This record gives sequence, structure tokens and C-alpha cells, in this order.
Amino acid sequence: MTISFDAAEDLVSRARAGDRDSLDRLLELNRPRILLLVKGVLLDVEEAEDVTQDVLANAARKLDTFDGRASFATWLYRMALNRAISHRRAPRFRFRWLDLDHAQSIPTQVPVTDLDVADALSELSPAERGVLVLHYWEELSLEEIAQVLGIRLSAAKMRLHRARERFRRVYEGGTP
Amino acid sequence: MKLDDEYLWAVAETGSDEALEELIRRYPSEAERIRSRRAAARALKRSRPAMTPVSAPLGARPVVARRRPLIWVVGPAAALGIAIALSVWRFAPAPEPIVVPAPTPDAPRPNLPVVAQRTDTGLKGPPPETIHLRGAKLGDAIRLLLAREGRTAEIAPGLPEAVVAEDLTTAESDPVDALGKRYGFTAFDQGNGTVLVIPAREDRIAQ
Repeated sequence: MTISFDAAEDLVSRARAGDRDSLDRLLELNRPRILLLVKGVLLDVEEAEDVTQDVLANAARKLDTFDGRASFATWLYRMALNRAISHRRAPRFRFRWLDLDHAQSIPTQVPVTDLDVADALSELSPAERGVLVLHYWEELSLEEIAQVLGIRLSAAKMRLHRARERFRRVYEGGTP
Repeated sequence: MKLDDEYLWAVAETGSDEALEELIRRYPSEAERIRSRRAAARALKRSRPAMTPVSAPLGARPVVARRRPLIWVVGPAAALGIAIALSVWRFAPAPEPIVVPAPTPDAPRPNLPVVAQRTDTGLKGPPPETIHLRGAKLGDAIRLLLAREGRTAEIAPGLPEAVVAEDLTTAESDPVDALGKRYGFTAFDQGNGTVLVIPAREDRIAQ
């Protein structure tokens, strides 16, 4: 099984051998999809940019721990999902130094254009959003989702089913 | 009859509008459940933000191409062209006149290269096969026919419990469609290797 955007295996081997350009190219190739996943989990464009940058920097640092058992894309997806979920679970208070004139509410840039969908997604847990994003936005198969989550296929199927049922109920205006 | 949730989601995500409407006609009591999942699946797919295109590699520095003055390019090119023209004129041997032998009726024909001629070999596609189905359950027969072409079936509940006894030929446009006409179901090719099989309504079968 392959994940479509992980087509640069030679880049991985060259990057692991210490080729800086290959590493840069590899991370840049994967960046859009990682950003998409993180945006879906966090529902905040600015935070997603920051977290994606962290994930890619972390991947560059930890490349020697990539053992090749899963594809590079799967490895990166897993890292990004875990990082995004832990980021969302962290306390939401963040200090920003602002002039008093600007100390008003800062509008959050929501990545989803359909606000009903954004509202419904925001009622779900980050992990549930992660599964939905992997399936509907990243278009991964159930087998690939199971690999990213590190769980069995049947468990992945169950998680996806629960997440989309919860989304559906909220989206229709019901309780999650 | 209540349809399985997993099945409804599969249809909602992959089924064509036509297949979905057929399913609703078949199971009108399930219309709300079907449409609800369809709406949710569509909303999720449509809400996907646009992906940022891949730009230059991280850390890459843009290279500014400096334009050279036109004379730098035109001058050497013109000089080179003149030099080549002069050398060809000075050293090239004069061309020999072409002598065309007059055709004589008894002269042997020169050995001309043989050019393969395309002839009609009468080859056509593979000959039609006849598939003998005896004592197979209808669902199994459909799966078998589709598996020959590397396709899989998603069969909605309500398929008749018929036992198939048919001789189908692959000369027919689609043996599964032929089977559908005889046993009352419609097959919708989803284009992803999956065929959605929806049984016809009882009122249609009765007609």
C-alpha cells in the first residue's frame, strides 16, 4: 500500500544520508497535506501554520528514527496528528503583548469556508476531527488511516463511523 | 427493513445521485437517513480548504537571472554563422550530377527494401465466452461475474433469494446487466472498481 504523495522515496534515503537539499525538498513536498490535516484538527489557520512548522522541524531532527516500516508520509501524518491533538489539549491561554488600543477580540481565521461545517467540527474532539480530515480531506483509505493511527483496521473503521455519526448529528442541529 | 449504517455511509460517499435515488425509491422509509448521511458527507468533502501549492524548497535562494545585453548574444552568433558558411563554401566538394538510368523493360529490378504491408489477418478481440451458472445464489453469481473483471459488488439488502440457472455470454454488453433484467436489480458502476447493486422494487418486478 502506498500513500499517493509519498512518491519521493529516494528523497528520503538521500535526506537520511545527510543531503540537506533532499531533506528540504521532502519536507516541502509534504507540507501542504500536513498543513491541511493540522488545520482540520485545530480549526485555526495561524495555529496550524505554527504547529506544521514545528512538526516539519521535528521530523527533520528525528529523521534518523524513521525506520521505514511505514511509509514516510504515514510517519509524518502520525507525528502531525499527535502534535496537533496535544496542542489543542494544552491550555488555551496564551499571552500576547498588545497595545491597549488593539486589545480587542482577535478574530480567529477558520480554515473551513462553510461555517455550519466549522461549527459542527468544533463540537467534536480533536481526535475525531483528525479521523474525519484524514478520510474526507486527505482521502486516505481505512487501511491507511489505521496505519497513521497505529490501530487495527476494525478499530479505525469504528472510529471513523463514530466520528461521522457525531458530525452528522451536530451538523443537523442536534446534540453531539 | 432498516438498512445498515455502514452501508448507508458507503452509498452516501461513493454512490452516484442516480443510485441514491434508486435506493430511496426502493426504501422510502429510509429516505431521511439516506439523505442525511449524503448531506453530511458532501458537506465534509466540500469544506476541504484549498491546499497551498508546493513552492520552492525550504532554504532555497531565489536566483535572479540577469539579462545580458543583446549584442553579446547576436554578435558571436553572427560571427559563428559567417565562419561556418565560408568553410562550407570553400571546402565542400562539388555535388555529383544525379544520373537517372533509363528504364529498360528487360533490366533486372534492383533489390528494393521490403516494406511490411498491413494485411487483414482477421484478428479480432477474444472470442466470446459462455458462462454456465448452475445452482448459484444470485448474490454469488453477481460477485462471480464482477470478480472476472476485477470489480467488486456492494449489494443492497433485498436482493431476491433466487438460484441462478443461466447461460450468459460475454458477447452481451454486460452479463451483469443481463442478469439484472432477468432477476430484477440494477447495477450502477461507481467507476472505482465497485458496482452498486440495487434490487428493483416489488411493484416494478410485478410489472
